[in-house]
Amino acid sequence: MSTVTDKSATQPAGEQADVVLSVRNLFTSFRTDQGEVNAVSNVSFDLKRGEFVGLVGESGCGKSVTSKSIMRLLPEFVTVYGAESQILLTGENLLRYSERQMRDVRGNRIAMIFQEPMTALNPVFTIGWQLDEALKYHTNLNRRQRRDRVIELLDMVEIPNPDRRYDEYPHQLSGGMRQRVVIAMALACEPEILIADEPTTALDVTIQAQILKLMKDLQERTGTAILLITHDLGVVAQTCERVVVMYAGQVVESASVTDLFHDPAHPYSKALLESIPRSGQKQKGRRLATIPGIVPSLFDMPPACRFAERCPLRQDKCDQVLPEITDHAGRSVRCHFPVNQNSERR
Amino acid sequence: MSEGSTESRSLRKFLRHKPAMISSVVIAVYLVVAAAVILGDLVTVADCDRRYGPRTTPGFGATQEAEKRLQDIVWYAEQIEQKLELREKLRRRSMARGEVPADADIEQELRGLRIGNLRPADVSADELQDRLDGLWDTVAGLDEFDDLNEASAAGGEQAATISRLLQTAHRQMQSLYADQSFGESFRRDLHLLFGTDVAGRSVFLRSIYSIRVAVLVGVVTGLISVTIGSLLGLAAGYFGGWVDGLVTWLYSTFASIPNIVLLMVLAYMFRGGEVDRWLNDRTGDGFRSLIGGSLDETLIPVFVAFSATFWIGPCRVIRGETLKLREMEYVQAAQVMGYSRLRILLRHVLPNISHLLLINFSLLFIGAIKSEVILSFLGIGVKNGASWGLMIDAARDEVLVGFFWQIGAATALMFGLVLAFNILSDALQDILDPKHV
Amino acid sequence: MAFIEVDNLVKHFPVHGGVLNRVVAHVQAVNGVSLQIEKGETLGIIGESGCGKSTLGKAMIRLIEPTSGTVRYDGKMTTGLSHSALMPFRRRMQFIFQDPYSSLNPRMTAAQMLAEVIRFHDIVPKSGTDAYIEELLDTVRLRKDAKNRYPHEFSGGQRQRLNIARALAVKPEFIIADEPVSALDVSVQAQILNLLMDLREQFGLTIMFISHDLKVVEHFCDRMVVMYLGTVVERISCDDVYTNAKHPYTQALLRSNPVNDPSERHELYILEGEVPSPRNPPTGCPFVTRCEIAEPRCQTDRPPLEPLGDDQHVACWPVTHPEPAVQSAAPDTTDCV
Repeated sequence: MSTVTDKSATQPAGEQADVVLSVRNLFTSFRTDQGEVNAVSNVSFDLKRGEFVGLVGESGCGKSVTSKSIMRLLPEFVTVYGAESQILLTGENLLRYSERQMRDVRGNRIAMIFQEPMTALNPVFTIGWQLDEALKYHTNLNRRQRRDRVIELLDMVEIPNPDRRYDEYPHQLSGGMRQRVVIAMALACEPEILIADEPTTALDVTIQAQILKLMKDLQERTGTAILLITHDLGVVAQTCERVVVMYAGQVVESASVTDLFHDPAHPYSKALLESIPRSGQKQKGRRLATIPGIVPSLFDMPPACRFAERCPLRQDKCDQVLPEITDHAGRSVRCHFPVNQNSERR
Repeated sequence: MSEGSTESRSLRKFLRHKPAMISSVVIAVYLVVAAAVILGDLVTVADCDRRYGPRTTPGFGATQEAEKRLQDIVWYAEQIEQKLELREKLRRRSMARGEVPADADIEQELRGLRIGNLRPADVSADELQDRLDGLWDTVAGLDEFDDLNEASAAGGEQAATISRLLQTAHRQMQSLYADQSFGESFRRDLHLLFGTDVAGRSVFLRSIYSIRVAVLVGVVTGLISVTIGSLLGLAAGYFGGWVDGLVTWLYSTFASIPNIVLLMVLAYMFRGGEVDRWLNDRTGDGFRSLIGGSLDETLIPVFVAFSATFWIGPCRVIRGETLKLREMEYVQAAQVMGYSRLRILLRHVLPNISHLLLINFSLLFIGAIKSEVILSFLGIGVKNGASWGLMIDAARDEVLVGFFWQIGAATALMFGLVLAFNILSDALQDILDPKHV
Repeated sequence: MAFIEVDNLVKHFPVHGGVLNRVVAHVQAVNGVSLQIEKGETLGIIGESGCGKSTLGKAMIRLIEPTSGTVRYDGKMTTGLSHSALMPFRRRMQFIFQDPYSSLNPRMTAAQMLAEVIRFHDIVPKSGTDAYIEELLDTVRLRKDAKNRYPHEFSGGQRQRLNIARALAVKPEFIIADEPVSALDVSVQAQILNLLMDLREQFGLTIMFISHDLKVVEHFCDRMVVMYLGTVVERISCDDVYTNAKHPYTQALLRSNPVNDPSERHELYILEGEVPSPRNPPTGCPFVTRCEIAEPRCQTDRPPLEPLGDDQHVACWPVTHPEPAVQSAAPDTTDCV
């Protein structure tokens, strides 16, 4: 089954029913002094109900712009979306929504959590007040019901003594606790989709383990689809079911997590996987595989394959024709010459 | 991503920033004028106080009502008449002493008459007297009308007569004065460009002289305040400890004194002349010769008063920024290299706050100009020559009679400079902030 | 005697508060750390944020004045030396900072920055400065045209190379690298780690590598020191860490790290609770509040770092001095939440 499709591709109705979020040919550009800069180009992927999908890539690959485009959180007056771009939330195109309609979507149907848990909470209000506000805005519960619900939420994210925490301020909590509160706030209205933008990057590894486990548990319990944006392949390997790899503003590969880690089809995915030090394998002192060169500048994108310049498998065609997303042995790849999956098995 | 140094990148950004470019051109014009006044005596204090024409003449040669036109003609004629009377008096005095009156000397005396660069006509005194008499006849004809304004507004034959008579009178008045070359008449037009004030002084010249005062006050207090403020701020931020404590205490103390009160106290302190006397006693009048007069006569009280309070702003900002930079890893890297504190401060901290110095200077420049205007308006600022504050103060009576040229000129020029500087300092913040590169 | 010897190093930061700005408490960032680094060795310092690993590094190089304790460099004491007496050591030990963005002066070109270091310490004759700068850039695999560029014109990885070039400019023997790759993208991280490995070989460097990333330390270092709340809890060879780690905290670290491969996926070990405040650490073992094998004596007595077998030191009462009643000292390694 193809999860990342060409714009011409159509999907059977049965499969579509399961899809909560469908990003179609997303182009996001910014107006700058130097002219229009394209940050995200022709990105398409689907998110199914209750699915845990990782969106991975290095800094500047457009993964955060993609997530902010979905939430329409980018500054409206400098952002330009492609004319054929669609962000379909159960069939409705969010890019056509007014700001007012979007407000009903944000927090209510799609929630988002950010990297820095301190800045996501307002330091002058108590945790209870902030959670209460989210409920007041999106639900019809009365005050008592809301308080019960807030305590239930705090309990759900495994914060000890939720009664007492209700009246505490963000600075009284540690980083991990704050991230739990942020998650509680995100889940307050039982959204269909949770977008988590580097939720554990600012946290220590032991706290990261707590948060990842919490997210996984909650996802299983509530059926919320999670789009996890991260640069950490370890986190992806640990939690996700499916991975979308982005490079220079485009999706280069989309596959199930085992397929990607075992037989990456795109040379970039492969190189990326090889460049991480692996634990517990006594490879001390071995040189790591690296990707030569640097990511092309947004102002100077190659017209053909964007990875060609750094690619070990580059051929003439790579410099001339932009590869389209194609299905390749169970996954979608944007490459003319995908890595032969059988000969490259580790 | 792009080539070139931080400096040239900032420059390119600046050149592309249209408001910044326009405002810096405007500022440059002001600065050139100020420099010409300061260095080239373009306008002197005397020019500010001299009469250039009848009282409250509107600017740009705006047409006036008949009554006022007559008054102005009479005023010009009276200037000649007074001189002729003076000549007559001198002549009689000489004859009484039994001397033959030296006509040439008296003619010379007459020629000494100057209204701006207008001179009496180059004819004999008797001829001048004849022309004056002719003018008085015409004026007498006009005096037959009770109210010139009403009569000319009514139109018809009367109005035509008045208009004709006024034209005649104007021609006759002009014949009293020497013809002017193109250059001379251009200068005269300039002097009267913004009209005259209630004492017949040129509003244009006074506004131009005020630019000198404004720019001097702005530049000098700006430089002094930024220098003091940044030195203290740098020291406080970088060394911390008791240095920081002292500086923080100093600026909190100064900041808690109402700005204007301190300025007034300082201004009054110098006004009394006590400080002058004290300094001159100890330096054998060396101080007087150094500054060329008493403290009161110069802008020094204003400079001191402003600098004493204005350093607080830059000091705060730079202390904060230095505190931040001190923790930057490149400063720590410099420490690891074993560099001395002075070297770190000068080579690694100072260059990274230089943009703040520039921005603070431009903010203080505006602040100083505005404060100077307020102080002068209150009568405790500039005393000699002119300043926009003095002009606005002087215009109080004029505004009551509906004459706005003086206050208009002063505020417009001040507005232009302050606005240009505001735009420039805003633009500088954008352009120079290293975070924006 | 080891090349670098740190003995009972302590750094307490005073916390000011109240109206009179009195010292109301101390943050006990480093609380009596002792360690040795042999010549040519790479020692990893690992721990979570706030464990004092950075402070330890900065105190060792006298960027921060230690509260007490000594640091011996090649047998000579560097703690307590004056600014000028420390100068010869400044050339022999260097520091690489974490943040590639804030560690370079934005107003200096690469060449200006390097020239300042070279001239200040008079590393090469004046006429040779340019050639030496080019040599340094070449050493860190930067092109010659990097010379006249400003920091903002470099990418993160290139900036980190410049940082390394600056540290190498004085021809040091010992380098403390404080999280040199944690701000970089994965592929760039690999480039910088490779570079550091090459340089280590080329110049015979002794390196102290501070990091929070177990995978990186394991890959790059010979031995590692695990820190928790200002103290060393375990010292172990990197080859043995998976098989031999004894301290419950080290084990927790190992098992809360995400997997390499989705097929090896297991439930992450959850270390409950949070790190106590370094202002007010527990009186006994610093880890006692989160430890699963804590005993009453752990509450009251701080366990010393004691040798345990070959090249391993552990600070844990139940591990080093198991009580007769307890059969298995180490926590059950299969225990997952």
